[in-house]
Amino acid sequence: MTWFPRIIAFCCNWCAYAGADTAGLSRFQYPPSISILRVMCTGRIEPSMILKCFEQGADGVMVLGCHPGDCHYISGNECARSRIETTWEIMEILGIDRKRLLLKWVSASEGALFAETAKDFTEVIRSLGPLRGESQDDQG
Amino acid sequence: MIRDKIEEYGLKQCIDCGKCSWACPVSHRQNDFSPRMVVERLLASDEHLQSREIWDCVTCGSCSALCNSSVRFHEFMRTMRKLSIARESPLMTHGDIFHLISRLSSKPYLHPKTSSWLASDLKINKNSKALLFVGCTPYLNIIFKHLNIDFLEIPRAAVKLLNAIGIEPNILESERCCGHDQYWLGDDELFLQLAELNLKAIGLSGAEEVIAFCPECYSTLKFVYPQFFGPLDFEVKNLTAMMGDAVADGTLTLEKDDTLSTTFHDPCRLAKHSKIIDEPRRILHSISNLFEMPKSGHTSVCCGVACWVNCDSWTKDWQLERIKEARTTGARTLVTACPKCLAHLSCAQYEKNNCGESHRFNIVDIHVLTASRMLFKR
Ligand code: SF4
Ligand code: SF4
Ligand code: FES
Repeated sequence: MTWFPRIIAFCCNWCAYAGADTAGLSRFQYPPSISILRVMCTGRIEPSMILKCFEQGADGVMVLGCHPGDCHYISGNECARSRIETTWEIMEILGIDRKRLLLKWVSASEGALFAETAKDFTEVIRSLGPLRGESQDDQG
Repeated sequence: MIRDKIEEYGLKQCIDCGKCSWACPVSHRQNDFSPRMVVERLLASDEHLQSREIWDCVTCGSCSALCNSSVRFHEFMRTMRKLSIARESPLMTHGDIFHLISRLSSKPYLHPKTSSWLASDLKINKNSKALLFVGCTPYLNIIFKHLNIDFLEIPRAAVKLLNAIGIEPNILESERCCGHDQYWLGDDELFLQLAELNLKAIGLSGAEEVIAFCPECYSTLKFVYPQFFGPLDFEVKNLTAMMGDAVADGTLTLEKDDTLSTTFHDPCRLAKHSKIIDEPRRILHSISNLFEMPKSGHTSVCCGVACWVNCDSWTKDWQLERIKEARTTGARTLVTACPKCLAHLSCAQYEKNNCGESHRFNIVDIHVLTASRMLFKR
């Protein structure tokens, strides 16, 4: 069976999730490797949630939120930025390539950017290969 | 099942003296908790396995350390967790991150590298028969960044101290979590995965002795691994104990600072689980004026949290009380020998300070302190 990346995208309710909606409404195509998880704000995301994705078999994780200054809760995305940095540091010790975790800002109107980000990230993960190494055969 | 375990851990020999309740830090805070009460409730109904109490115990071993009838209550508690874990999981602190790190570090396809803190003045030898086990301290350094403690100074000090007594240790290319928390949480499956990977890596390294500065890594490798895998091919040593011995036989010369006044917080895994009590004191006597807290040695109290389970306002109270106890001795520095004790006690202070109350007391790691008092022989 050919391997297809499994990617979790945490999208904040107010910007990135709406951005994904815009992408859909505008019929922009993006790969089916992305599973979206809606959170109220990227500030909700803890490093452990990201590690849990990897532990459960994700090959990549995206955290998408409002542009700086635009967070619905004022500074949630700033919290997210520092937590993502923490997560990158932990991933480094664990031996998980930091490129497998992406933080990006996507507004509600940026449907094209959402689709593009999804495409590009899928490519990055595809070139990194499965997190579990080549031997894995249970991936759909 | 429960009855068998009661037999196995010697609970039937209990003479109801109550020493364990006196020693138990949890009993002091929760009126409805005491080691004997837990057993009675478990005997009354095994439904009790689902209760919160199973997770309230910090498995510090204070109860067992004082018991004259050789009751091993903390080990009994671990077994009860093993029975209950499938039914209800405990409340994990820090969003369960430490458990996830352990889980990820048990994946054979990942190769955790815990030695990024190495510096050029630290002598490491890939062919050495002595291996330094690093443990989870590098992760603490990231997760407890806000405490402003350089946790990485601890492994660095460890190498410095070993170098000073003529040992250039090896460090594993890829090291897994030792499995301490999983063992005490009753998660034997994950514990065994971690232990097997570590034993394999240690075996390949050709190490004849494994040295751990963390009391949890030490007690796990030393006492728990053989329980599952039989006698090990290598000797397990604790760095604090080694340094204590080196001070005694003169291999390590330390300079005393008369202005330094210290008191020692015994980590549970060091004092109660491993009976290493005199060695750290020997070190502290030779570098400082040591004051003892009323609760020290085998009657010392836990730092409040074990295995990253249940941290609440009770815990914070208990930690601040411990710091107060340290302060009351007249000492100006609280020394401990476990990176987790350092994190927990410092965290309690940090939170208190955030509430506007100033509670800052100097808390340091014994290895870092010792390395700073070394006299170099020419
Ligand atoms: S200390 Fe030992 S003998 Fe005394 S009450 Fe506790 S378990 Fe029983
Ligand atoms: S192991 Fe510690 S916390 Fe648990 S019952 Fe014994 S004294 Fe209390
Ligand atoms: S609401 Fe979008 S990042 Fe906070």
